[in-house]
Amino acid sequence: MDFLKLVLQLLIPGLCLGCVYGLNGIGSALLYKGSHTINNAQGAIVGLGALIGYSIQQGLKIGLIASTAIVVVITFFIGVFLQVFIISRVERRSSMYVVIATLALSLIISSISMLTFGSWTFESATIIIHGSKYLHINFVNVDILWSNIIAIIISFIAMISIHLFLNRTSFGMAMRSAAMDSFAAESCGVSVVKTRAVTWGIMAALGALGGCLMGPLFGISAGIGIAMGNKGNTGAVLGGYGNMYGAIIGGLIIGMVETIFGYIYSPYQSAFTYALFLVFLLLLPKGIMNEKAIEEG
Amino acid sequence: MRIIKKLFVLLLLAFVSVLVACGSKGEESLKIGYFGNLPEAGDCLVQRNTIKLFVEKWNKEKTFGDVTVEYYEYDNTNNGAQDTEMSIKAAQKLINQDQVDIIISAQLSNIIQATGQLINDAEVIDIGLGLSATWMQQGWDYVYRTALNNDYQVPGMTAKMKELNQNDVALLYQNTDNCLTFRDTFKAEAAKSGLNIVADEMLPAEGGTGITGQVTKAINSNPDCIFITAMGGSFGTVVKQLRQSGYKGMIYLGQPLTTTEVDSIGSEEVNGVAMFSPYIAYNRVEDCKNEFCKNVLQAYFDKYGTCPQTDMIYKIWDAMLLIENAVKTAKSTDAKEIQAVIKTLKFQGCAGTMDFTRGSNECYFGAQAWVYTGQGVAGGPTLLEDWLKTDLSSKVKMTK
Repeated sequence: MDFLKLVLQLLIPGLCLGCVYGLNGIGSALLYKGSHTINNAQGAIVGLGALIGYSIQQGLKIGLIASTAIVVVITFFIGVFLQVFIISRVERRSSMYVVIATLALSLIISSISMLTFGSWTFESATIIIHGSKYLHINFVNVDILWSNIIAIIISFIAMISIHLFLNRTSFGMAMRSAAMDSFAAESCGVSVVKTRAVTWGIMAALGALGGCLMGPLFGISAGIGIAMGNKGNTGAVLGGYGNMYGAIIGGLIIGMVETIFGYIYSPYQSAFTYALFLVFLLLLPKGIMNEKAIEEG
Repeated sequence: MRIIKKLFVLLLLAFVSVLVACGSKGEESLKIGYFGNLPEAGDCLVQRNTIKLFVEKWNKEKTFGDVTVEYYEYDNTNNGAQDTEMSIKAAQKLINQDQVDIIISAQLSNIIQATGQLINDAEVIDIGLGLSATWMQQGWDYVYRTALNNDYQVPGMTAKMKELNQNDVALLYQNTDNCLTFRDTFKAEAAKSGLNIVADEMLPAEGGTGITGQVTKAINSNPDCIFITAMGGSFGTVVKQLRQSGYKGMIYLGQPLTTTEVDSIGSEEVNGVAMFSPYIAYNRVEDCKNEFCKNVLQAYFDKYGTCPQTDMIYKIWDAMLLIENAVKTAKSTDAKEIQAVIKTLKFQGCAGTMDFTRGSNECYFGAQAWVYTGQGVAGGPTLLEDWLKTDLSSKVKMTK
């Protein structure tokens, strides 16, 4: 019974972290698939989204779910804005310019967040159901935070929504076609400019969603997104860079492994986690989802 | 060709500017330098605001007679975090270009450790705001501390744990110079006091989200209490995780929480979080009971319209008091003369008497035991002894 309790104590938070890393990974995967570049500003956008969420909670006196919904919309447009006014202009030269530009954006967003909110950690609104923050599981006598459970549920809803959007809507299919071959898509009447802007919007919105969902668990600070963005990217590579489903699986693996190694032998938590990542890369260079094979198929 | 000409003119201008800056050393002035995280609106903002407050006051009141006080500051960050290489560059600029008399290093001990030798060799007074024991063990004659060395907190803390029958202690520490030395000192003192370390878990140095496994292990080790040493700003996340994971016992911290951290943990859950510190941060000036500290907070509030969210205000205030007393006593801005008089100084600071006469370049040697009550603003911090007499302590499991 103690073992089952331990499994639950580690599984749920690990799964929750993994889902949030997965959300970040999806954004990275979509971007890579669409424009073969990476976004170094993702972590900063996650932090910014979480801070905007905190400001909305304080200003409008609303709860976590409502504020998160508003943040998702706001950050979607921030992502679109960044793509239209900055990224689209530099990516004409080379994808390397995008990498550098996003690095610059990361520093700018982080600095503005720091100047505005400081390095403090703020209290986020939390999830309370039936007057309690916990779901008590009787047979193993363990309390699980509703915030963890809700974060997992919302993350999965977001993932399924993205899947449906990309596969069942005409714009989603346009995005996929633009990602596969932008010239061919454009010649068929797809606006690659629009699809890329929406890709950035989705990436920013998913990152900010993750940041907001982590708020009740870790508090909100400008720096909360940096590690989450990096781990989301790592998960995306693990899953097969450019593959959305691989990014989810990769994120879940990183979240679980990190939590388990933190329990087993904490001084080597990062070393073990990333060593495992390297082993995966060596054994499965195309990632878990064998991304190249999918692309070719 | 035109570009080369423009570059040449720019270089010439830069060279002349440097010469002018160097030439100004001959004037009667006291030059104070600072490096820290300039874009950050946290501890470093409190430091810079306080320095500016004092410089303005000194010049207005002519505290040092005809000597004008000048202030120079540089950012030491790289990718948003304070960085040793950038700090060394900043220290070099302050020493060679600005020719400052006194440098106030920011609050990170690894930064002070990295820049201390350079500043000491240049015979410039260096006041460090970090808490680690290590950099004061280098024997640097020009390096001083106006905050409490971590080592002086620990004996009182372990003695209190023993007194409360909290014999089994779980330890959570961050992988930084300050936290590692604090942990070593704690383990040594715990062994002397007969305490058992039942868990000893490392938290990621960068903070963040990867702490769930460590927190679960600390709780599952069934401790009487948990001791955390982490970088300022990281405590709140760890305490929050401990409480959210169902831990109801006492939590001891290596330093006080900021007022926003208390808010982020939540008032009920912060009840029973204790620390050994000379002072503590408050949300409102009127909550502070110590008259000296209250006046400090009021002066800051009057100038900037906000009460500092961190105990950093007291550390930097004491640093400025040290400069004021030393320069006034030495009647000189010469670092050697200032250094000579500091070892004779004994004056009132935020945590009582700042006594530099012991010759260790430190001034405080003891702390008070505080605890957050979870009541009122900023968790209603109070003295541990008072809290133990109230019903609030009964809401916390004092032993397992």
